[in-house]
Amino acid sequence: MSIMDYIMLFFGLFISLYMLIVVLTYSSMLFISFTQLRKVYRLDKSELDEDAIDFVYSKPISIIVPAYNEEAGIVESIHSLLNIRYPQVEYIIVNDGSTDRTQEILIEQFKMKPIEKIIRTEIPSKPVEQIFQSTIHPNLLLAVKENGGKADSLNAGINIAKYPYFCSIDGDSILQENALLRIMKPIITSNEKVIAAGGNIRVANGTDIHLGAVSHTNLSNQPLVIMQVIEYLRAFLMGRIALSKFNLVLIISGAFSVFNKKWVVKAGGYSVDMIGEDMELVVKLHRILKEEKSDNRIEFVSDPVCWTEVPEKFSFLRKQRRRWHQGLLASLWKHKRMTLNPKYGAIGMVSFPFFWIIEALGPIIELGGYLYIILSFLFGNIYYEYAILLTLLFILYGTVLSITSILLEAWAIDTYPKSRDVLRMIYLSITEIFWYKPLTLIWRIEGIIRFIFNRKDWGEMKRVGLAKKEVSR
Amino acid sequence: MIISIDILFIIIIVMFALLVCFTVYLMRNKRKYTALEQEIDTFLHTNKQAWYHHLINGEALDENLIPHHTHEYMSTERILLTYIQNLSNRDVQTRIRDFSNQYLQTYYRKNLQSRRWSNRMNAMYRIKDFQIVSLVPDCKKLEKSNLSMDESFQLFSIYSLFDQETFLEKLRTTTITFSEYEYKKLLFESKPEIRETLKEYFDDLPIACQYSFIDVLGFTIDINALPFLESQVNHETPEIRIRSLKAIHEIGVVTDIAIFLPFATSEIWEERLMCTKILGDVPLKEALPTLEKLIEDENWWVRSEAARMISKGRFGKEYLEKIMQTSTDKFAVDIATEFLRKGVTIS
Repeated sequence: MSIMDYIMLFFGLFISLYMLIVVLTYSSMLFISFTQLRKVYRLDKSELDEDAIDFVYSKPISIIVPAYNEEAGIVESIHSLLNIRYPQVEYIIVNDGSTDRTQEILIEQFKMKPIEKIIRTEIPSKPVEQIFQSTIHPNLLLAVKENGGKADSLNAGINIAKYPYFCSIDGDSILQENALLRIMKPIITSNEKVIAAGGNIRVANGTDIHLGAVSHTNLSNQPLVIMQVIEYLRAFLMGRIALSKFNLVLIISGAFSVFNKKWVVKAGGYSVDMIGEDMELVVKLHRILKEEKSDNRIEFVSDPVCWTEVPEKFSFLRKQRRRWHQGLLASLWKHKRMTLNPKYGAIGMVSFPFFWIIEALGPIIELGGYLYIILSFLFGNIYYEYAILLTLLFILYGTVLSITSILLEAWAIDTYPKSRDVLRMIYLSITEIFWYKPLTLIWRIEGIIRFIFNRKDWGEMKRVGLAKKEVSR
Repeated sequence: MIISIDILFIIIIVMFALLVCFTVYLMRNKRKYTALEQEIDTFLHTNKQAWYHHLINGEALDENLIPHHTHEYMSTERILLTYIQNLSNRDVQTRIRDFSNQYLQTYYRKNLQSRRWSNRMNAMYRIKDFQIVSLVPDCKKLEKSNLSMDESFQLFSIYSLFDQETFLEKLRTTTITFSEYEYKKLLFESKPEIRETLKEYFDDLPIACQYSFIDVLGFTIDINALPFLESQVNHETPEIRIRSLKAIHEIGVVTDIAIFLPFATSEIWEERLMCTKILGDVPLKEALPTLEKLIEDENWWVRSEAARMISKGRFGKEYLEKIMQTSTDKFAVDIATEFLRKGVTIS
């Protein structure tokens, strides 16, 4: 055997071993989710909403909506927010120096008037030039500021917010009517030991949106969107539920999460120089929690649902994935000292290694696996055993686990009640390993490369506006 | 090889076979569920009118309304819940209670004994909603088994409504401690007599329960609780003092300002803040000397609250202007200026 053979065998062994670990990790997370979901199967959850609606128990929330050139969808999202069932909320839209008509539209639509308001600057941000208040909804404010990015807008919003909790929502997302009630539940029942909670994100493309609420859930017709539906569902079942059970969550979605303002101020707010500002904040919070030896928690809550629009074109999806992966690496790298550091408990010993090995470096090894399989078949038969092994592991990881998640979701949560939709998802997840998986791997590797060369021109996603699509359908 | 190809192959085949079975099961389940929904719906529609006549007009109970099958029970549950949640009419509630105690008892007893946690929870929700008092003894039997926190809480909540003695006894003696939110919920829903009795037992209660109790007295604006709260402002625990002050401020009645003046110089800023708020409940003339000191406080919240209290009082603006011009304290001048310039709008 030549050196080349040894190298190939070594890689075959290495990648197979890696894939086996990945499969086992995800399977156990899936199993944990299953036990959790089985417990609450057919539990009447509306009872809890009735409790929380009483102002006596609930905590007031400031909802912060950063908006940058969102003229297409902003009015619809604000209407959806105004529909939310919650006893005490204020809405703060932060116009981050939009160059389109976002501001004019909002002022006109909600009959806004300029007001003077005392702002206590607890986190530095670009100056707020003016605050407007709606004359129709007095709890709706619009802050106009110089452009400084999403993180900066959120920081400005936190300074304006008058309530002890704030919720960050993307301008293009739609909250389920009971979402706030349900996301606040762990915070309230834990005696405010939960200092941050993230909700469940679902794909809005394809659903019927009427007056700011999702009226019918249909699966989109586009394979690219369906694949993302499956991905979100997997992230939820093979990750967040299990991680949250052990207080290991490092990512709660920036699209919909609630934070305790006091702790966020302590952490210095959102980092303006980081790409994944939402993950970065959660890591910072974990860090100060551990440094202050606090037993407070950060949780993922599966009931509250936020519908968000996902890219429908390959080019936008590519930019998004590149940016996400770059953000993940940047955060992990910035806090690299927490990795395997017993001082940070399970976050340092379990979460960080998990995110480094499986999430961050995964794409390189997995793509290596793909290349290995192709090369083995080109070079002849001595490595074919590993190649078959790898193929089977990929099928187990990609297809079998995906289908299990889809079925588990259909059984326990039933987002898509039509059997046809479920079958379509299953069908597409069988094809995943041939096209979608390799593509996302390549995009994520691009993210790694951009991280290494520290590129900052992360792409923007083109918003079509949810309501607009509804009209055009 | 780290794992044999054959074994892996078999695993995958088996997994696929299982998934196919599960898919078939799920699809059938979905169809069964849709059919069940349909039956529930039909039963609901046929009996909607009869229920209305019985519950609202007080007509005699139609025999057909008595459920016998699962879908009939589920349908009845839905109708009754709609009435409970949307009407607060005593007669309707009494009729629902009578009906449930007679005809739904067995159904919920079965669910209460179910091995599935969510069934037991749902049954307890309904016992509360429909006031199925006859099932309280069955609930007590549950205590013997290993209960989850949620179940224990539901039990407490059932006792607080239907068996006050057990409730008071449990509250004092149990080793289970709930969160403040849960205590608040229990105490807020319970009858005023229970709260009256709890004042005597206050020191025996778990600390989270003590906090919640004071909060509940505040937001129920219970004027009779004032003497109790005033006695608690000298409690050794700062948190109890702060919360009592807050509750007194929420009730909004100040019997003797002298009780609160010492807090203006407290070392704890929350106490100074609460004192400032209480000073807002008395005429500005009386409060002004203290508020003038508080507007120079080192804490932003206390200063700004003091400025707000002055500004909303009679001749408040004039006082603030005077402070702005004559005070030597930079903080006080700043906050007064800010309030005069901007404070007119929402706080």
